[in-house]
Amino acid sequence: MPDNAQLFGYAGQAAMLGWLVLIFLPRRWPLLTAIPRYAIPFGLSLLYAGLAMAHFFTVEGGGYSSLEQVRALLGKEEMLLAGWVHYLAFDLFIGGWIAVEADKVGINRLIQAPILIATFMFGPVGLAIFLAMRAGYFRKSEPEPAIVGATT
Amino acid sequence: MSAFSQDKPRYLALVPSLDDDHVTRLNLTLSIFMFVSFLVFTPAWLLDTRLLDSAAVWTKPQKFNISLGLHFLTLALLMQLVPRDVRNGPILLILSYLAAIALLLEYVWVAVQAGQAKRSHYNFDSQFEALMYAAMGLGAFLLMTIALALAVQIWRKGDRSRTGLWLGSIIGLAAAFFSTLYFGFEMSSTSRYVGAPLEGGGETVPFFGWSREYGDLRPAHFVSLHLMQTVPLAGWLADRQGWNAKLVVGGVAAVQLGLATALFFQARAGQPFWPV
Repeated sequence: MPDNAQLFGYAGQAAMLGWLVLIFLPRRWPLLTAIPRYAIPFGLSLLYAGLAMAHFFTVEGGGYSSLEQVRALLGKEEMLLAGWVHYLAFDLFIGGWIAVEADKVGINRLIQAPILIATFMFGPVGLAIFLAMRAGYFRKSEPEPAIVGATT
Repeated sequence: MSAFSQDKPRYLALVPSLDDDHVTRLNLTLSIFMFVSFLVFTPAWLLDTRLLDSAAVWTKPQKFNISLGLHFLTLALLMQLVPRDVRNGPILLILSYLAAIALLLEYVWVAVQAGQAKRSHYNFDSQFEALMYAAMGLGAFLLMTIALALAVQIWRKGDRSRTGLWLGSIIGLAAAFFSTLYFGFEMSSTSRYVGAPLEGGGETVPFFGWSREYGDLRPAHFVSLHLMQTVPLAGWLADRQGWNAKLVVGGVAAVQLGLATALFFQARAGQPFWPV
């Protein structure tokens, strides 16, 4: 069983790989896009599940109801690692969602890069930028069909 | 390059009535990215109490966000004056991408330096920071070159049916290019202030941060840069109202350019334009 520092390293490398695929590689092969969108977040989620389920209830005074409880919880190294893996998994999954949605509204890949990097570095900052941007896009009305001779 | 593989857009930002082509979309997306950044940076702007050169550390990125949001919105709008194939031709396509790359690198650098309460411009503290300052000079040039290229393309191939808008766009974009670069490079080779250290110019104009005690070269830069909005707008208004387009466009451009020049020489003489 690898120790905590090793697990931290593996998790970080896996997340990094996912981000590189999202930021730099083409999106035309669904299998390739599925690696950062699903495969890596799923793997990280399993690692989180193992750590959290094994350690959450073992921390004296740990919990979610106050900052003190959270501090106690993260005071145990396995839970600190679990918390970090939680960040990695959820940030990458959100990044994958942003990438697909950004392609849908037609945001240039060049401009997707800083949004994805912001999500990678500071999760919610990237999400906020993307959500606000998407609110600024309007569905173009369909081009007028040629209705010569139409009766209705 | 994958950026070209997504030309099947279904949505358009901000101004759905614009043509939906690759270059319009690129410029419009840059614009919305900058305006949105203003919104997302606002909580930090309000919460962060650190100062840099007498201004809140996030004030500079915020000015950058608004100013360049407006810059790229203007470009996207005025690009509608040339036919689609000209707009997506090599000149405007390549220069739009160069401007986009310059913008994004400057954006990241200005934000990262602000977060560390460090200068992005006028920073020679380390070799890398000095290099980035030089790179930002090139970036500013690229951000404006697209404006000049658009002026040339509007002049050559633009829609001349609306004389005021046509002429106003050409003059506004070209005058903004030359005057802003001149004032900008003058400012970068000396200091933003005349007579005060970079750390601060005493009393300032709210939000803008221009000194009210010393010469400050930024007002001239500001007034000259916005020629590219006001002059086309004046031309458009002249068309609508049936005024003499050449007179209105020429007059607005001359007055504003004159104002920028006067502000420049006043600052050079060490005088604030709005003394305390």
